[in-house]
Amino acid sequence: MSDDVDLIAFEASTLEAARQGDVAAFNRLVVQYQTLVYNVSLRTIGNRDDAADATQEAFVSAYRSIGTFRGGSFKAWLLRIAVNACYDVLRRRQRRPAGSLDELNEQGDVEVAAPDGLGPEAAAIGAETAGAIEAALATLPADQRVLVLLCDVQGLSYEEAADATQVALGTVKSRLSRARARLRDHLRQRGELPAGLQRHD
Amino acid sequence: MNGFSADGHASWDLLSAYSDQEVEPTDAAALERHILTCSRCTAELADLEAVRRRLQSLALVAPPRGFTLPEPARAPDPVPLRRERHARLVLWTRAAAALAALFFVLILSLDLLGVGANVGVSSTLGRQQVPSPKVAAPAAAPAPAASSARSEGPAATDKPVESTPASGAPVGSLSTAPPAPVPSSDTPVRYAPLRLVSIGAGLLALVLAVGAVLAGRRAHRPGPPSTL
Repeated sequence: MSDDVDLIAFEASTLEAARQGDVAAFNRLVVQYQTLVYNVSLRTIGNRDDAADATQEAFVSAYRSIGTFRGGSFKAWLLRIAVNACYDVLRRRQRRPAGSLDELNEQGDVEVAAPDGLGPEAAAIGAETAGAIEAALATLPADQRVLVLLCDVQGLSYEEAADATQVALGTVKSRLSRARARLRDHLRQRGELPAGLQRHD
Repeated sequence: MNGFSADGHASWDLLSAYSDQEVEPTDAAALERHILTCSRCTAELADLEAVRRRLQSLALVAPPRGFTLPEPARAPDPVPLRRERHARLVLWTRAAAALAALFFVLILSLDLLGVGANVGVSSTLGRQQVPSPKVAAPAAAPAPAASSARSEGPAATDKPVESTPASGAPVGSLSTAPPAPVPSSDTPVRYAPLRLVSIGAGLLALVLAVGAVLAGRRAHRPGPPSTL
């Protein structure tokens, strides 16, 4: 518990220094959060190089806008910037006419606005880590995948996730539910969910 | 009931929200009561929780590199400082060029006006030039005398001819009088220094002026872009 307190105190003083333009202080935050941001980016975009680009863009953007951080969860604030950077990369890859973030999100269920899945490299990443769940994640459309990564993997609340993805709370709720259902179906198909097979009493 | 489908079982949406503790307490209570007696909904909830557990234990991939931002070396932005120094250099170069040019013009005009009586070597210069006309004058006098002597006695050509060479000194002085080079060969040391200095100042002024123009051109070129 005292570790948590120390961590919070460390972060508060580091944030204050970073706000004053202390790049070295900001870099301490980068070191602390870069694995997290990289992993969210990697699983959202599905490609290592693009994920690295998005991660770098996210931290540059975070440094520039550090003055707008008003307290609360720094992780949630940072992940919002990271998600935006990921969407930028995804949009560039799709070469679709500049949709706003809203457009990508509010077209609901989705195959129209967001890419269906991630393609061979993402599946390869899944295979490398020998995880059916990674492969299943790669099949989700981007907007559903992002919410699963934020809420289930990173532990953000519905509110924080809504803020990070710029959608309504209700949208987070329904989209997350749909994502989990698809993952369940995927895992069931591979026999990874024995509980599901036993339906009858 | 809220979140329950027509067949009386819990919808997946309800189970999903329930696992996030995002369900109204009354609806949560109802669901829990239902699950106690429904194996199908119990299985569904178990599946949901299994999916979430898998996601929570997703392996972290190590990043390929660090993402720290470049830290500034010394001053936050060295470019303006360089520009400032450059501008100052241009200013001083131009001032020096102007001074040198002024000095050169001054010396040269003093030289030409022959005003340098108080200045050591220019007075020597003056003396060289003044005697020349004096030498020329007496030379001019005997010359007409000689020519008149020649013209007067066409018969007695020998005598005037002979007399002309006799007054060879003035004639000789005539031929030797005007050009400065002759006197300069006599006193080269006294002549050179100030003239050299003024020529040198003139050249320096020229070089500095050219340098100032070039430096000025370079200072107007845009500086390197900032990194961030």
